[in-house]
Amino acid sequence: MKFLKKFAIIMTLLFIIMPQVAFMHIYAEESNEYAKEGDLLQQILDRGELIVGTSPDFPPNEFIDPTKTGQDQYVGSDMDLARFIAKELGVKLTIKAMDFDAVLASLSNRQIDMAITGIAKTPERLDAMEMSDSYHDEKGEDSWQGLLIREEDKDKYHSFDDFKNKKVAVQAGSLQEFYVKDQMKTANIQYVSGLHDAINLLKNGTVDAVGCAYGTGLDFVKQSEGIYIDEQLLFTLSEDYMGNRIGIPKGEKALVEKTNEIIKTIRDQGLYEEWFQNALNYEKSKISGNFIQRTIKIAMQYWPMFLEGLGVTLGLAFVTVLGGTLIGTLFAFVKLSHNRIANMISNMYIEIIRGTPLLLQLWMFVNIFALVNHDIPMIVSVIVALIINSSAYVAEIIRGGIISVDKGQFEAAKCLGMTNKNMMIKIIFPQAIKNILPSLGNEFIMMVKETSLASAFYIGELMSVNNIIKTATYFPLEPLTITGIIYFIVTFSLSKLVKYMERRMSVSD
Amino acid sequence: MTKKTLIRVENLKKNFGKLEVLKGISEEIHEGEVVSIIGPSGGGKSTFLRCLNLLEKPDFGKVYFEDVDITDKKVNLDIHRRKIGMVFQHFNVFPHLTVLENITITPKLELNMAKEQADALACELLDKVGLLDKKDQYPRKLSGGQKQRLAIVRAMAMKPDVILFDEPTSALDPEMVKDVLEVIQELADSGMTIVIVTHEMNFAKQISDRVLFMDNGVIAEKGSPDQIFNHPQNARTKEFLSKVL
Repeated sequence: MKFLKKFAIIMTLLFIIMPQVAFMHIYAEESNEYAKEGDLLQQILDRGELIVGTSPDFPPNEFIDPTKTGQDQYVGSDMDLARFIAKELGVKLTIKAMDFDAVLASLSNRQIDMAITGIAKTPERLDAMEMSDSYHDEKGEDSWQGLLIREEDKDKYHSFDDFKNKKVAVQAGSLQEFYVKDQMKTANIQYVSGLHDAINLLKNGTVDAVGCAYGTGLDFVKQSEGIYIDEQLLFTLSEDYMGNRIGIPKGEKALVEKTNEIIKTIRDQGLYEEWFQNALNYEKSKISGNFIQRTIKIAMQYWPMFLEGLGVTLGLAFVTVLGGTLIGTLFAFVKLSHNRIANMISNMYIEIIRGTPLLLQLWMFVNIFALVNHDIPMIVSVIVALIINSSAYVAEIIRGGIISVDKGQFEAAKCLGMTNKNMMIKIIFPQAIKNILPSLGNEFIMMVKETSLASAFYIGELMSVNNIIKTATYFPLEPLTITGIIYFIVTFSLSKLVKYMERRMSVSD
Repeated sequence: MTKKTLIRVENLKKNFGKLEVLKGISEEIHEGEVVSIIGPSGGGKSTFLRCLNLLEKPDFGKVYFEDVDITDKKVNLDIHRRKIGMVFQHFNVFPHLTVLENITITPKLELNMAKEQADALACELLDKVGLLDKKDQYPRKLSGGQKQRLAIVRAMAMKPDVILFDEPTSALDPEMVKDVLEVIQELADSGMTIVIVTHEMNFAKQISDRVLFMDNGVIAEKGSPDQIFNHPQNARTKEFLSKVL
């Protein structure tokens, strides 16, 4: 019991101190800002590595070539740009793929050195980051920002006013959001996290238009049937905000200067236009046939990726439940102990974790970890968040299992003079396990599904794989179907296994 | 009674919420003595018994076991409880252990008894209560009476100085009662100190050195079996006995 008290005290301290450390870091960051200014360029040169964040669902600027693996799979004109910059700096390039929002967040956390993901300048963004000069001015039609609509609707719309009360999808935090808000005041905005989702919503009628860059729009028109980009429906662009720029953490003036130098070289030699054309002509796998044929083709072509994703998913779930069990057991015992303060704390822990969404916790940990140390890989933050989340549920499972053991068993053991430790290990736990194991099995099944939320960070589990294949094939529904089938087969067989286990155990009663 | 005092309680009080279950009880249990506690339900018999090994924590008062104040928080209760056996109404045998393991687990763990020695002791005790042939079975295969005999043997294996019985036959089918009572009788005959809460009046009359009649949170009357059963003085004792006898 003494151990439990100590554990409770340590956990309390952790709870009190953890946010402080995180905030202290924020303060430190602020006060050190001048000391650190310009430091990042030197850091990049010293470590010999440039870390670039990108949201690889934005062809032709950045997308994934699923036939390749590792860093080579990230292709597109922006990726060529990133490679060029790294070469000019004489350092190795590491590309980190994640959602667009996550790229911007990682940049302000300084988890990445640069954000190269077709970023356009907006007033809000200027507050949060430094922006390089434009590397791609998008003269003529390249610079157009417009709307994708359904082909059948092409005679319906003549001006932005025709979109009154219609739904327009834009990527959250994108330039198009800025324009739609500014120039289509009567339309309703539907936020999406990626353009592929937006196109799908357009096709199935959920939204009536999708705001996107003209070049990207043309690409989508080429790849999927039934959508149309109208040259009459273009946003009026202000000169200031034209062009794609590189995002750089706030205060890193030296890095901005160096980047602008490199951009000047690129512009002088017209390199980006070359990369852009190459990317537009990039050999993409064209998948044809009806839905079922396409699904089968995608499954046949990409099964090793799906399998790998499943492996990561199962691994994540296993590590999570294992870690969750270790921490959860401790919390269960604290909650069972009669120390009121310890009790209160572990109650708070459990209630807070169970009372907030896992996705929020994932973001929270990714951000806090980034504040504490930029070098912590995303997957570590994700695993920690998952384990913490699971531990709260497992704590209740274990507590429930222990409570379910007849009170007389505790009394008998105590009356024999057993120590608490021996009583728990030799008498109570072996009986509690009968109730705990099936529930842990179910928790594992839950986690197999819950880990999909971590796909926002492209950590390679099944749902991340789904997103990658969606981007590569331009078909959202088909990979989703395959992914769904895989999830179902795995969870269904696992739950059958748990039921079998349960039956076996009850037989021994 | 010149024998050594084994358990001494002083002004014991216990409340369950607003209900006052024990209202300041003082009593002594001597070595080698067999004490029966009788009385109506809700009178505090079981609570009193459970306070003797601190299974219930008294709200007030002290419990001395072999002159050590075990209500003192600094005292290691486990060590003292090893010398105070207890047998429950619902047996509380360990279902995940075999009959033999039920008996040997605590001596091995807490008394550092070698496995061979513990097994030999368990077999000897099981033989006495007629359960030797069941030693490798799990308790679910045993009848209620067999389970209770196992529970008694389990308590005896710790070589306690006293055994507390909390209504040991109340949960048994009538035909099983006799076997269990015989075992307790043998235990008493061997000189074991016994405190027993029971509704078996004839058994209490026959086995006891002393009888305590508890009602309404106090020991209303105490004395030899003859005094209590044949010449009760207290009105409540008389009323209770007239109902049960």
